Amino acid sequence: MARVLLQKIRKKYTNGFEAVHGIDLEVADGEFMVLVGPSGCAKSTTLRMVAGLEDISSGDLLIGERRVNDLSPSDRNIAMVFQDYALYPHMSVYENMAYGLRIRKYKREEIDRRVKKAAGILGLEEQLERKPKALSGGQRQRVAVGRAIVREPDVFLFDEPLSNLDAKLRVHMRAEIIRIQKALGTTMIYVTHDQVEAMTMGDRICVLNSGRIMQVAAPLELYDFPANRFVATFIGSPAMNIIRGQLKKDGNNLAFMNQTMKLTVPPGKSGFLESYNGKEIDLGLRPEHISIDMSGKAAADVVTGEVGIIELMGNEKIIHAVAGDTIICRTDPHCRAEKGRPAGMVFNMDKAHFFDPESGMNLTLG
Amino acid sequence: MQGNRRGIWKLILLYLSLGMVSLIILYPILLMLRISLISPEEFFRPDKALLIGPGWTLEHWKGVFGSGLLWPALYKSLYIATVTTVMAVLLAAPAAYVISRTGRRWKYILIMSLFISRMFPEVGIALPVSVRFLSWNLVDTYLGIVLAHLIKVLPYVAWILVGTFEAIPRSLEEASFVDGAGKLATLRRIVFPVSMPGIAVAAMLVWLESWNEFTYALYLTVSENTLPLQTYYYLNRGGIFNSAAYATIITVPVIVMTFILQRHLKAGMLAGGVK
Repeated sequence: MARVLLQKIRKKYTNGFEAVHGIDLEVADGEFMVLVGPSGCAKSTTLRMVAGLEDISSGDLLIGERRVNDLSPSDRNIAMVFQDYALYPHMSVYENMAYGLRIRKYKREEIDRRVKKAAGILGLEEQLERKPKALSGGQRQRVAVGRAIVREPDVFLFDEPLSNLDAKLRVHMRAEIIRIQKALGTTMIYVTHDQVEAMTMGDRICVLNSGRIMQVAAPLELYDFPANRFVATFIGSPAMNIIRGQLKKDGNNLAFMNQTMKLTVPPGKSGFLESYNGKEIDLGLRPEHISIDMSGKAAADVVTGEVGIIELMGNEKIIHAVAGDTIICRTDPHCRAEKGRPAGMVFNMDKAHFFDPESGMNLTLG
Repeated sequence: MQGNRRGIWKLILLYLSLGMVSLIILYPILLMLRISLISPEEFFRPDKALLIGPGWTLEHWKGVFGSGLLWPALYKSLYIATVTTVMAVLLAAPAAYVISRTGRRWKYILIMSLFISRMFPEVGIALPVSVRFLSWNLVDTYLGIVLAHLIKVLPYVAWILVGTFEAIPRSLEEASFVDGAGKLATLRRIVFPVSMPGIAVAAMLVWLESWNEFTYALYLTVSENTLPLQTYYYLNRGGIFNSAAYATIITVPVIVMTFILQRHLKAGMLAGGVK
């Protein structure tokens, strides 16, 4: 078990394309770190550099206290689970799991003990003699995980391991992997493009975009206090509403306004925003912080829009209303808003974020 | 009930078409066998019944077996085909693996260059080859023919194996690296075993090619004939019947070989490994 430290890690390909722009990241011993981002954000490349499957162009990679930049994957004492499982098709489940131990010349009894133990943890006892092709997708996934855990490595590296499973199995395996990681206490770096996986699994989440770290934080912190517009819109579904407008003095308070709305900036936030008075700014508000008011009684921070698409989810209703921009609200499933009719949307401005339109930085974090 | 009847009709049609295809394929072979067993009087009768008819004899086979020429030729052909196959696979597999892992542009150039030796008619290079082999004392040796056959088969083997290795996902190798294996161990324990079906196909084609080969063998042989040369030897002297017996002998191992190896020709060598 060990911490993993990335210091100014860069990846530049021979054709000049720079995939990773000098990132710094510390994964604590025993921590479950999720790397998440849209496709092409270099999360897999980063993981593969930690594994040793890609060269590191510059920077230092430490596993434990060792600098491992120049070590081959086999010498880094890491175990990896691949997106396509990468099971050895000509070997039985038992042999697949034993392979790494045989290569490392473990004693037969020790191999047997570890494989049996892993099979027990993963519920694969009945499948040990089978070949991968005789297994279901979920079982193959388990074998891939089993191959990693028998090694008892310093670090687990998981590269989108659940993306080939169906939705139900994915939820199940998600819980399984968390359980195993917590039970073994092994440091984990887990790559996914799925923000739900990231939120539910990670002790901390590292959000990547175009080879740069956008934010590293615990799931709820990431959700409540996104460092910038990218994180704000990437984490959470439906995504946070982003509305362009201007800040203007309105009596004692600052007000956010554009052609369709005028909203009061709460006093708690205005301190950070004084310097933006008279300038363009992006308002960000999550759909659950906008409620629909059909009574017309709400006094402040109401925006009237025309209701467009309504998605009924059972436990909630997602309402897309047009007031200049399309604004998405998450409401009670019994909300009586109707398509094509006007509705009043009440903005809970205490939950609002303001972003610099140029840099995208969250200005309300101080 | 109706569905059942339709099923039976489907089955009948299937076997009918299979039978017809088999007949077309088997007819020349049966004819060859028949000629090796027909009496010369019957064969030269104008209104002879070729496939089914009177006039059977074992004389030609007795002649072939008794001549003392069969066993050396059979041994030589078996030996050369087998050694050529082993050497071709041993030489081509590592090369093909490397080619399969190079960039796209280089891969194309390398594969094209492999086939340069195949761009000339064999008779065109067999003479220069035999002249060169003469100065190296390779004419009329087993090694000489094996080397000549390698000229012919290496491009094909390499080409087939490049395709085989390309089909193996890199993640399999990467998993093996992460599991602690070096490149050679990964080749030996993962890549080659997984490629066995492709290697088997390549080996089978090489073996058959070498077993059948005529041109190089003709140029490079002085004393001891291979089987195809021995067939030609009889044909050259008007020995149609002995020639047919030889042709039958050449055909038998081909059929046996194909049956053995076709078990390895199953699809889905990678099944279950990835996704």
